[in-house]
Amino acid sequence: MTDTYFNELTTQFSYAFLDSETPVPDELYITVKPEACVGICRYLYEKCGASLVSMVGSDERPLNGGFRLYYFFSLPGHGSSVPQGSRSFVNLQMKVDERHPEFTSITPYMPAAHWYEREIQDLLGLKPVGHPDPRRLVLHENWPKGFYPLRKDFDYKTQPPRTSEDFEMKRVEGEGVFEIPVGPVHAGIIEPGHFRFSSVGEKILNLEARLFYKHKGTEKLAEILPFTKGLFLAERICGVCSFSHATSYCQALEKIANIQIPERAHYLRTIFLELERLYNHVGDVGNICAGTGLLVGNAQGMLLKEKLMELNEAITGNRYLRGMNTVGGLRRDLSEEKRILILSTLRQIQKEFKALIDVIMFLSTQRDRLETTGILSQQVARDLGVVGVAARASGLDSDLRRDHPYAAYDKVSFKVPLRTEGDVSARVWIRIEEVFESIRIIEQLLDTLPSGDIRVEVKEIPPYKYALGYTESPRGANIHWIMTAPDSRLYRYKIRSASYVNWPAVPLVVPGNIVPDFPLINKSFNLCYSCTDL
Amino acid sequence: MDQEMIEFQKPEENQEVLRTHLEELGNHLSEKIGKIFGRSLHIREVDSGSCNACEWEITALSNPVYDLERFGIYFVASPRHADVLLVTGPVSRNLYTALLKTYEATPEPKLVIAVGACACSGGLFQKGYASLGGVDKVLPVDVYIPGCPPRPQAILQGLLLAMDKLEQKIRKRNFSDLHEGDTCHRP
Amino acid sequence: MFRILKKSLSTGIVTSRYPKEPDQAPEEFRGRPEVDFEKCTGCKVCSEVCPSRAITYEDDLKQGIRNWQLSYANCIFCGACEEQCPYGAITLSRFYEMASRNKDDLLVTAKFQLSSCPRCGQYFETIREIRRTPKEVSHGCR
Ligand code: SF4
Repeated sequence: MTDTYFNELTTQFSYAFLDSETPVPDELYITVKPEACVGICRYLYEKCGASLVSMVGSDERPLNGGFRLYYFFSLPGHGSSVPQGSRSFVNLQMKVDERHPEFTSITPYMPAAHWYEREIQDLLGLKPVGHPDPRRLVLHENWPKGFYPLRKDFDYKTQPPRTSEDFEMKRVEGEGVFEIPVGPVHAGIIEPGHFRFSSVGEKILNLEARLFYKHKGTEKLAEILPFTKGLFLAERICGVCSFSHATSYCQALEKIANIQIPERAHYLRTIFLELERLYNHVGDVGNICAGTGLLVGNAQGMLLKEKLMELNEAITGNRYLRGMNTVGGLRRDLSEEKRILILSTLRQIQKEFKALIDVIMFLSTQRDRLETTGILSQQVARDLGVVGVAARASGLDSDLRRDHPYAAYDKVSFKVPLRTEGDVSARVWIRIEEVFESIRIIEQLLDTLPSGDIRVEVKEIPPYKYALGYTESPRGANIHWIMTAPDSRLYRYKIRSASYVNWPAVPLVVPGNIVPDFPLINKSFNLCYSCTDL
Repeated sequence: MDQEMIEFQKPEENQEVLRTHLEELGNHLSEKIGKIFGRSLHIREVDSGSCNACEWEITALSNPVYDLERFGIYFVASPRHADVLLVTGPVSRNLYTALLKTYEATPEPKLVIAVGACACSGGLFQKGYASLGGVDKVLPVDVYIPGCPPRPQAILQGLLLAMDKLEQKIRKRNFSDLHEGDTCHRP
Repeated sequence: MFRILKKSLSTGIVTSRYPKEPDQAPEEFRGRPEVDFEKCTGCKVCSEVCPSRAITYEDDLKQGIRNWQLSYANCIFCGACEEQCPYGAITLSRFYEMASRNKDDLLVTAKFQLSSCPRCGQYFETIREIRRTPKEVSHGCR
């Protein structure tokens, strides 16, 4: 599949191509000349309809005397007209000279790149020339200039002195404009982020979000751990997408080590991935009711979620499905009793969830709050590369489970719900529909669960190889890129979570709504801070 | 003990003793809260860089199954109303100031409870450029709740334990305050 | 409105009786790691696989003692030690009520006698470990 695009690209940009390889199936790596990179990116984005799924900066000076930038595109973009399983990733890479640590920004053409480039600037010290908003992102103002944590000559343990605590935010000024600062320590039990609303009366004019409070150096830490321990780190990138992150990590390393894991492990992984989606979605639907003040709905949603968490604990020993995944398969098997337990619990959940939906979703008060609130237009969603539930509620038909099938997703049939309204209600309904789809998927898999081993032993991984690992988490696509180092360690581990790409959309959706609707909008996206900040 | 192994020590944790203590606590909890705090115990949760799972477990405490409020324990919106800070996460560099300010805003007597491996000791996130490796590096911690994440029941147990400690703190404080000729009374 | 009421009523009481009654964690649960010092040889495999530095050791080469330590405060309950321990000395139990006022209450410590190398006289491995495995009784001092 990559061939057709490759041929097209080679005829267009033959002068700029230096090298190309396909280290693992479905991933094409093309080395290009730095000056032509923007042109090729634009061509892929504008002409081929590809979308930017990740961008990685890596310090490869010890290897080849320069920094390297990787641009990952998913082909051919969104839309279900392309047959299943025929999509693939095209990855452009270019070298950035150590003496001129800068590169041309692609953000003016592809807004989706704007955080990646700011992050690269903070962590690697490469300047994106022409970036419209080159402020600090990951490292706040307390971080002194001249320290770049992802460079190889920076030691993980270094703790540079704290500098100023001030920061600048964009302001809206004028008569009657109020600023409402919120966070980073919030009123509810949620994660830290700083929001500044500029409002006139109840109406929000502008929202500025300042995130990355939780940045704790996960990617750098992964570089000093052996890959077996890195797995536990991957599980702890995010609490509620634990299993997806761990699966992405394992899949990337399994590709690199070129091993096939047993069929049963694929099935079980898929089951756990869907169980993760289930408890998240059920909980989110309940949570939305907390935003509208419908406490019955909230309590009932939490109750159902609790049942699912207890199920998780009973079958895996951890409420967040931790400690199950491993590179090469799974650590624990699913016994026959547990199989039956899952089936019976799910049947009950399905019934109760349906009853709950009938009660809460058709109330006029509820509908009044949810409908036409926080509209994310399809254009904005596409420009920012929004993924997951938020994308599907805005008419972008993208779902990695169908588009780039992994684990056992090619063995089951399921629908990918799609809506076009893009409001809070649409996002809630997508979740509701996905709950029923997930239950169907799990039932299909449990009915056809193959027997056999669940694990192949992986002792070593080859150095200097790279691959992508990806999963569709409850929040959207998690894309991990791993490059290995000698001694079964990682050279570079780039984690791009679904929340990372969806966050920039939130401040764009909020203006025009009233202040009390913000929690609702925020909950309808239900983004995680931890896997954004890393 | 043979000479090849010199000695070993496990925390004296007689499960039985602990269990009865807990049961007793559970029975007298509302009574106790009533006595110590007039009405109720107020908690402020502070996330100092957790992975989110600890947060969700704390949220789960207020769901119908664990229903924390039956004990008169409430989560409040501001540290100024709080008696207890429930801190999760290894304290990231960017949250250091926020955590300190929250602590300063909490009125005395206050308790700090570290929830989860990250908060207790850094857990998987060792001390590094962006993580300080545990709450006790920054604040005095009164109760540690291990787990990754701790089960909601374990957090509940930690809260009960904290209550005992808070009682001690208040007694001590009243005593010393009286020494200074000051009378400090809480309703 | 009526439906909401009906739903609430039909749900009934769901609140658990914890802490008045103990709540047993499921069988699969990964709780407090229990060490069986009858089986443990102090071979330090667990401290090598522990991702969160919960299990650590220190060799006192003057006294010939290995100080081994497990801290529940650091433990992330991943079960790597359980999986890798060659003697099955560590198991993750179902016990989870570990909250403590003092970090020292969360420590398990042990001291192992080290054996010295017959060639260079340096202490290098616990006596127990050497007895258990018929491996060479000297370390690579040659
Ligand atoms: S202790 Fe574990 S669950 Fe809690 S924040 Fe840390 S990594 Fe997450």
